[in-house]
Amino acid sequence: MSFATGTTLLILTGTLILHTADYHAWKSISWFVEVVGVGHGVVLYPIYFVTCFLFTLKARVPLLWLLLMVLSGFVPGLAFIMEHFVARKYGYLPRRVAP
Amino acid sequence: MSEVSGRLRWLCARSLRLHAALLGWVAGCAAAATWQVGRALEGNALSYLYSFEWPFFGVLGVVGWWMLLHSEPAAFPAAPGESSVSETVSPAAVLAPPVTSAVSEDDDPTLAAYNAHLARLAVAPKKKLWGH
Repeated sequence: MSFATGTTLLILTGTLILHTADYHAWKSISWFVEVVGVGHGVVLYPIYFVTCFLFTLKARVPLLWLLLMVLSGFVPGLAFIMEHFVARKYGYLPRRVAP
Repeated sequence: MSEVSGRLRWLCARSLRLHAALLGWVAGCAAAATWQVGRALEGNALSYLYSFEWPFFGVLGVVGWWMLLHSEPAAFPAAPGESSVSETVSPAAVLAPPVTSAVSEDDDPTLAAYNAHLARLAVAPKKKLWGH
């Protein structure tokens, strides 16, 4: 879920840069921006938001981590970083053990 | 006793952090909703959708705050190499015979009723809670 949300946010960030750099090029893909924007803001992020809360309740995640996970829907790239750390601490990635 | 624990639930450090986070979240959602309403009134069709979505996020934040407030704080399993509570129990205490109560169930009907209640709880299916 975080990968999907984070990827759409990265795409939107890329289109924002394109909007600043070359408006005519952006205008030609404005339909794509609308589709990805609505997909991110209306579909993916609300699901991700609720998932974060349910995961926090289930895994007893600290509040700071919850805030960072929720902010991942706004800060480009943060979703991937949070996914890495959360997966290592609570999920499928093995923990690092001191030698 | 329950009143004291209820007050502690609302005023402990974790709860205060939750209150602060809720305030920040709701204020942010309100600001974003106001911005989107302004854009919608200017003619942006998509902003009509977002002007409803941001208050919805605010309400979700309140629901999450309530749920987190009524859940137990973090208790993580011990990592490899860390000592856990069970390791701090002395071997003598483990090997010692169990302490039996001087009062048997036959003598105390309250104790018998309480044990029957515990037995019922052990047999009955666990109540389904949010996120558990």
